This record gives sequence, structure tokens and C-alpha cells, in this order.
Amino acid sequence: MGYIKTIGLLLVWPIFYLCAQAPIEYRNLDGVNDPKRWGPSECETSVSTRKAWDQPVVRMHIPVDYHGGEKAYPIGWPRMYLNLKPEEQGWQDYDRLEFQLYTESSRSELPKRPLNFHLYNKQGQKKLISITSATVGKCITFTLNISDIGVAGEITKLGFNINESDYADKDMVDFHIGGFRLARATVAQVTELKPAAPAIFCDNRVLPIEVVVEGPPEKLTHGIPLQLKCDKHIALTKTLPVIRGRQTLYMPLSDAKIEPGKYTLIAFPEEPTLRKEATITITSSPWE
Amino acid sequence: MKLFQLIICTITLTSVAMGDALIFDFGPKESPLRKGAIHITKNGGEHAAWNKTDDLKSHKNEIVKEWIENKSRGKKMPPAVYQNELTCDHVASSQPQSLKLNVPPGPYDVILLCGRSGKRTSQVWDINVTDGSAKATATFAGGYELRKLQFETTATEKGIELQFTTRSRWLVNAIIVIPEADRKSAQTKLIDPIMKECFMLPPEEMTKWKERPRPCTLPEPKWTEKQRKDGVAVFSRPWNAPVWPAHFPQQHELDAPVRAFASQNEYEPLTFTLHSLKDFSNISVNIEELLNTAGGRKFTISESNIDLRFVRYMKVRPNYSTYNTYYRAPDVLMPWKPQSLMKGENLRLWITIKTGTSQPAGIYNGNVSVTADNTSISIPISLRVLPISLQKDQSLVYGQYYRHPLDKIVSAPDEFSRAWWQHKARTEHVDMREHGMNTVVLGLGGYWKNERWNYYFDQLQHKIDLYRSVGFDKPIVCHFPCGSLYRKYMKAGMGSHLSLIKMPPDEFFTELTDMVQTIKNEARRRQWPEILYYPVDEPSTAPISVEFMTRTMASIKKVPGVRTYVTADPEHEQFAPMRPYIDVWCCQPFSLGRKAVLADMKKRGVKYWCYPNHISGENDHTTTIGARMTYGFGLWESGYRALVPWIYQYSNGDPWNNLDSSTQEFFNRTADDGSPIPVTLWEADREGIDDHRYIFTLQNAIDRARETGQKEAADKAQSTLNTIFNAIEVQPKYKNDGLWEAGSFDAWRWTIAEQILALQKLN
Repeated sequence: MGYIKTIGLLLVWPIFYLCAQAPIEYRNLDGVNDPKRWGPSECETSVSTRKAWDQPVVRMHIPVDYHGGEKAYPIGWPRMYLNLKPEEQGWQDYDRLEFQLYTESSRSELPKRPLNFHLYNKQGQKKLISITSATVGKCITFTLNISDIGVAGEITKLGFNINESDYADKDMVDFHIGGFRLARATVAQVTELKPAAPAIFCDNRVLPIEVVVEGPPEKLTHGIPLQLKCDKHIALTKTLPVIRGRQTLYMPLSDAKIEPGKYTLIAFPEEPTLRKEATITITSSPWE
Repeated sequence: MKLFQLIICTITLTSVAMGDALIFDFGPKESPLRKGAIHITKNGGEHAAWNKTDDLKSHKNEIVKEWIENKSRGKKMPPAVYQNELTCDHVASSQPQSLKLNVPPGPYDVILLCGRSGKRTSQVWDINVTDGSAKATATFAGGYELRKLQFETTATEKGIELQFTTRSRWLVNAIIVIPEADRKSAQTKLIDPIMKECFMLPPEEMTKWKERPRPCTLPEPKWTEKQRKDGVAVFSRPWNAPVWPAHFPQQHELDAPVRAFASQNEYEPLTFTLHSLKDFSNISVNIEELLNTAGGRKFTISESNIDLRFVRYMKVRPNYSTYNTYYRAPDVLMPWKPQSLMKGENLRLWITIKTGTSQPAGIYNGNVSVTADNTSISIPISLRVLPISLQKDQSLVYGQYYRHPLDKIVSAPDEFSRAWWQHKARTEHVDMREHGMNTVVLGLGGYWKNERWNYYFDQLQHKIDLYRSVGFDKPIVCHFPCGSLYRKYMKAGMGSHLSLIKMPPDEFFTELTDMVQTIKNEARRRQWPEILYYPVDEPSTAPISVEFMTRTMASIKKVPGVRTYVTADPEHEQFAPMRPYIDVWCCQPFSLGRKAVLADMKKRGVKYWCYPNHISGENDHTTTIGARMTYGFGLWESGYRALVPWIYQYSNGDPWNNLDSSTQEFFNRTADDGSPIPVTLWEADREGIDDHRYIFTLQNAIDRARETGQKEAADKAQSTLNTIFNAIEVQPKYKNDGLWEAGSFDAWRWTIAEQILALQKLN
């Protein structure tokens, strides 16, 4: 296992298509890319010929068979699991888990739920995610906010499965999965910004905002600057305290007289490379 | 005065726990006896005597704790209820009775356990017990529910005398008598463990379960001096955002206005919550009429149109069929009654207002008076009534799967029970109508005898009469004896999801066609609404299942003019062979996107319906935001034509215990008189339907505006609808994640209402 420090490229885009990123640190989970570590059922694992960020890749080969598998459940759930070693745990200091996925199949298109990814804690609580973006012939990067896992304690086990019932009998599918790594921003940044309430009354006490914040805790102590703007008029500016991960912030509105209209909510309004925007509708009040 | 049969008792009273508390365990002689309890049979026992014994019956059930394999479902299941020595047996009667308990004179608490008869499901038990001044009552149906009746009494030199009366049958399983002086220690050492064992799970089962309360991630707010002095803080959040039992409110929610708006002839909820900063022994609440005095006139919303309830926290599973994890969650909307409140706990009041058909527009104000021990608080509430008469899209179907109470009448053993089931059926239908429903799923029973099929047409007629009497007018999804027909040929069941299916001979399919033809003929003769033929529920995608379903549906379609209904996801490619024979696809998610659904409905005339169980019962009962979305904006976006979830009410085991049995309870509950007790999810469904009514009303107003040449106003209103439409994060299942914050729904509804009012003004 090694640590790699990488400086992310700063990309300059038109202001309403911002994809700029703060510098990112990665921690590769090299051992997770070893097919021998994965315990398959109703499928086979091997070393893939592909690479993911120069890392090895596991090939999960699944011949869909409605008549094979477990006697009680012939249309079953081909799956593989891996137990994380202690040195592969400790994800709470990171912002995201990432890996790459490339799919090959006898089908031209995958079903709506092509592949499930699961994460387990020691008590067996699990988070199940359907990787709906898997596409035949395409390599995708799967990203998961650590704060979205929603399972208490350390992640100790990973798994992948398909539902054979989502596929046709005799389909073949190969998932090439690798490059498992944890990522964290080295400065504070907002990677997702949206109004939790896309419409509110103008006499609401607060504006709920959903954000995903990345960055080490010491860089988050100053909070995140937010601005509410209607056309060119700045209605309100506030700096709100944040923690790492996904959260709902409540921007107090009582300091300003907010008129009904379409507003833009902006995070880091003065920092073009970190700026994020979202739209919100503020309606009149039925009780005024 | 009746003479009492005297039984000479020993002087020594047996104690079973701390102090002199006594447990009387009722049942036959041979039934298991609780350790330390006194056995009371229908002939009496030590320290207890009946006034007469001729009508008394006693009964015991086996105490079953093992999980048994269910072949159809392919897994082991726990017993419906866990009996113990106290609950497994009882003494019962249909006649008044007196019971004398020989206890030393003095004040006592008396606790009776009544229920778990294990007998016929159609029996309605009606228990009235009194000591001559205090009394307790309970009325409930079936063999699994257990009730605790309690009151304070004073024993004289003759002991305690209890009178039992009933309108049907009464029963008693156990009586616990606690001297007042021992109340506190008996509560923790005796009563609490017994109640936990009886009303939750036996200790050995309970060890497998872990309580995992929803963590409170909110910091403690800054309380004002008044809140500290009062010992209680009032806070308000949108009604569809859950309030967890012991969570702090958000700072901005404290003393937030309690307000709503509604159109004419609409139900609207208003809620607020008391968060207690100390223990209260008695909280009482009073609400009077709401007044609108604007413009010098006085209009009211009277108390009869204001329904006051509180949100009861139930122990729930995270999902209906999981085990070993539970937590307290907001669930049932109980009729208000004064109650205590412990420090740190929340008590959410739920007010539902019904505006009149021609309710004058304006803001109606009122106050809710709360008395918490010696503290009095007044909470202002306001409701703006809009001069809007909402229209409903009559092409949409809103139904419910439904366990019909009228099925119980046939086997009900007495007049009271029959009347109770009748009342239950009627009040539930009215309740469904008032919540926007326009159909129910029904079933036609039948059996093979004397070389022919015999059908319960009259029973279905009664149900259709009731259906019509409340104004339901949509097609009726109806299952019929396809399973019995299969068994006739195959001498076995089909299994859950056709798990045990084998292909029957061709004669089965021929006879199936004949069966459907017979039913259709009778339906026409009786002038029934359209029946949608529903032979099998949730077939699997296994090849044999699909082949069977294809042939089954094809056989049904041989009868001209009938339509078929299936609960299956059309997105599964495996179901492709069935497609030509399915008229109504009903699937759990909005699985096909809007474009595909609208195109296919237009091209082939099929209908796409949805049974959104994920926001009905198959969750922890808190998916209120997802429920409102599903029924309102989500349904609008989806293009689907109906919502028919499973189920209006379903109980497995004790209806007030979500931890027993193989699944937890679904949805609405039942009051002692048989009328429905709603749950928060049910109210969320209605509000979603109302959201859709606002959308439909505006769409009609836009059409009218265009017809009268008011293009600019029409375009502006359409732009509002487009904004909302585009703000929907489309999902196949709206449940917990990716949803608008609770308050957004009312804000969007208001933007629609504004446009309706604007277009109304122009006209």
C-alpha cells in the first residue's frame, strides 16, 4: 500500500460549468485489486488485462445461468466479497472512495440495474449501491462520498453482485474493476451544492442547503462563504460553519428582506476556481 | 342479589414478587401456570371466586416459540404471537360475571391482561370491567391482540369485587393486583418485565434484538428563559418531516409559526411539537374554532371540522420483514388524550382541518391551549383558505389492497361481532374516499363441488354495493379462484411468486377461460363495474413462471372484452412473452420512464399502474416525504395512471406489536369501535393527491385561458408548471433519498395556487 500525492489539474471553464478542483491526495488500496482476495460465488475472478490508473484490475466473469447455481435459487445472485485488512480501513480521514469499472458483455446494452456494490461494517450493517452508470464498452469512474455510506464504524468488507433476474439466461458479462483508492481534498471545497428546498416562502426563517464539503477538518474551521443573488442584486451573504461530507446547512434569512423571485445560490462567490452555483425559487407568502 | 359460591380460602396469601403483589393466572386446570401465580379456573381458585360458573369457558393455546418452515415462501417463520403462561390461557364468557378476589383491605392497582385467545378471527371481544366505580373497557377483534386494562381500586373486608359485562364475549388471561404502597417497586421489578414479555417479545427472543435509535445529530438549541421556566419548548416543522422521539429541534424551528393554507372542501394538516425540558405528569390540550374576522365579518371553522390527534411512537423494524433491529419511530395518529411526557421526549400534536365547500376565503386564526401540569401555553395557529375549488383528474385510479371486513361477517359468532365488522367496513370505505381513493382490490371466492364451480357472487355483491355507496367508480382489480383451479388439477399449490409452479395440462387453461366467461356473464347480469382479472400475484421471472403466466393470460383474453391485470415489472425482459396478453401492468416502481409509458399506452392501449409498497408499509413508517412525492408530483411526472399499494391495513400477530410475527404491521389501525385510526403515511398519501389536484386544476385553468385568448397569462402559468416539473429529480421509487426538503412541497403548491388565482381573476 502506498500513498501518492497528486496535484490535480486546475481547469478553467465558463463560470456556469465549473469543474475546478482543489488539490487531491490519494491513498491506493492496492490489495483490493488482487483477484485472489475476492471470494466469488456463481462467477469467476481473475487478473484483468486492463489497468485502472496504472493499478491492477480484477475481472469478474459472470455467465448468467437460470438453471445452475444454488438449488433453491437457480436464478440467483452471482457475487464476490472481500474482507478488508486493518491497514485498508480507516476511511474516515478521506472524502471519497473511487474505482474504475469497465464492462464487456454479450448484450449490447446492460439492464437498468447492471451491478450492485456493497459495503459492510463489522456488525453486518450494509450500504448497497446500484452502479447504474455501468455501460458496455466504456470505462467509468465510480465515486462514493464517504459521508454517504451511512454505516456506523469502519468499513470491513466489500462486495459486488448482479441479480440474474435482471439479465437474460445465457448472457455473459465481465466487469473489470480496479484502481481502488481513497481520495481527499487538501483544501476546503464544495463538490456538490444544491438547495435542499428548491422552493421556499419568502418569510421562511432559513434556506436549507445541501452540500458536500471536502477537505481536512483544520481547513474547514473558517466555514464556507455563501451568497444569495437575484439577477445582479446580492440579497444575502453568509459564512456558515461546515463539517466534512454531506450535510444540510441552514442559511438564516431573517437578516434580509427577501422578495419573491428566482435566485442563484453561490458557494465561494469570490473564488472562481472553487465557485459552485444552484438555482432556487422564492415564492410569496400565503400568510402576508 | 346473586348468591356467591363461597370457597374457603387459606389465610396465607402467596406473594410473587416484592411486597404483596398477586398474580392471578386464568385458564383450564391443565394449562401452564406462571411461577408464583395463583391458578384461577372457570370454577375459581384460591383467593378468587366467581359468582356463577355455568357459562364460563376456559381455553388454553400451545406455547409455541419455534420458527416453522414455510414451504411456499421457502424460509422459516416465527409464530404469529409468542404466548407465555399468562397469555396462553384464559377464562371467557358471553354473560355478565362477578369475580371476587380475596385480598387484604386497602388501596390497590388492578391490571388485567385480556386477549390472545388464538380462536376464530371473526370474534370481536368486548370487555367491560368495573369495581363499581372505576372501570376499564376494551373492544378488539381476533385471536392475537392483547390488551392491558388498568384502574385503581380499594379492597374492603370482602376483598375486591370485579364485574365483567360484555356485548359479545369477554375474556381474562391474568389479573395483577398491587398494593398501593408497593406500586413503585412492583412497577420496575414485576410489571415492566411482564409487560415487555407480553407486549414485545419473550426474554430469549428479545436478546436477539437490538434497539438502534435513530441518532440525533442536532446540537441542543439555546433555550429561552421562558422555555426553561415552562419546562417545555414548542417547535414547528413541515408536517411531512418526521419528528423523532427524543431528538432536539433545530434552533430555527423553535416557536416557528404553525400555519397552512387550503382550498375549499380540502383537508389540511397543521402540526407542532412539545419538547419537554422536564417530566410532566399530565398534558392536556384544547383547541377551539378558528376565526376569520377580516373585513368586519365573522367566519368560522368549527370544532367539528377540526380533528386533534397526537403522533404515537411505535417500535418499528427498519423494514417490514427484517429481524433483530428496532427503534422508536413516529407512526400512528391516535385520538388526543391527556398524557404524561418525560424529559427530553417529543409530543407531536397533529391537527387536521376540513374546510367547507364554500368556505369564505381569508386567514383563519385560532389558539391551541396546552396545559402541562402547572404550566399553560397558548400556541397560535393560522390557516389561509383560498377561493379555489380543486378539480381531480377523474382518469386516475387511486386504490388500495384491502382485507375486507365483510368477509368476517359470515363466520362472526354473535350479533355484536357482525355489527362491528359491518361498521368497520363502512367507516373504512368512507375513510378511503375522504383520502382520495376511488377503488379497492377485491376478490371472488369459489370452490369446486358437484362437478361444477360455485362462486360467492353474493358476497362480492355486498362489497360492490358498499364500494358504490361511497362513490367509488373505477375498475375493480379482482382475484378469482385461479389457484383453486390449479389445485384441482395439480393437487398442490402454486407457491408464493409461483415458486412451486408446474405446468398444468391444457384442460386447466380451457377451464380457466370458461371460469372467466362465467364470471363475466354474472358481472354483466349484476351490472357490476368493470372487473380487471387478476389470476396470480407477483409471478417470478423464472421461465416456467413466465410460460404459465403467458398461457394463463392468453386463456383469459379468449373471453371477449375482458382486461387482465398483473403485478410485475414490465422492464424485466423475461416477461416479454406475456406482453400481448396484459392490459394493465402494475409494478412497484415507476420503472419505465415517462416517455416510454406514454408512448406504449398510446400505441397499444395498455395501462401502467404502480403499487408503491416502498412508501406504504415496506419501510419503517417514516417515509412521509417519499409518500407525498409518489402520490403527487412524482405521479404527475411519471405518466402512470394509478396507485394501488399493498395495503390499507394488514396485521400479522398483535396489531400493536411490530416485532412479533414474520412481518410488522402495515398502515392504518383500528379503534375499539371498528373505525380507522390513521397513520402519518396515510395522511401523506392524501396530501400528495391534493398536490396533484392543484396541478390538474391549474392545467384546466391554463386550457381555459388559452381558449379565451389569454395567452400571456396562460404562458406564465405554464412556465410555473414547467419550473416545478424540471425541478423533480426523477426516481423510480421516491422513498428517502434525493427528495425535496419537506417544506418545498407547500411552496411549490403555493406557486401553483397563485397562478390558479391569477387565472381565475382574469375570468
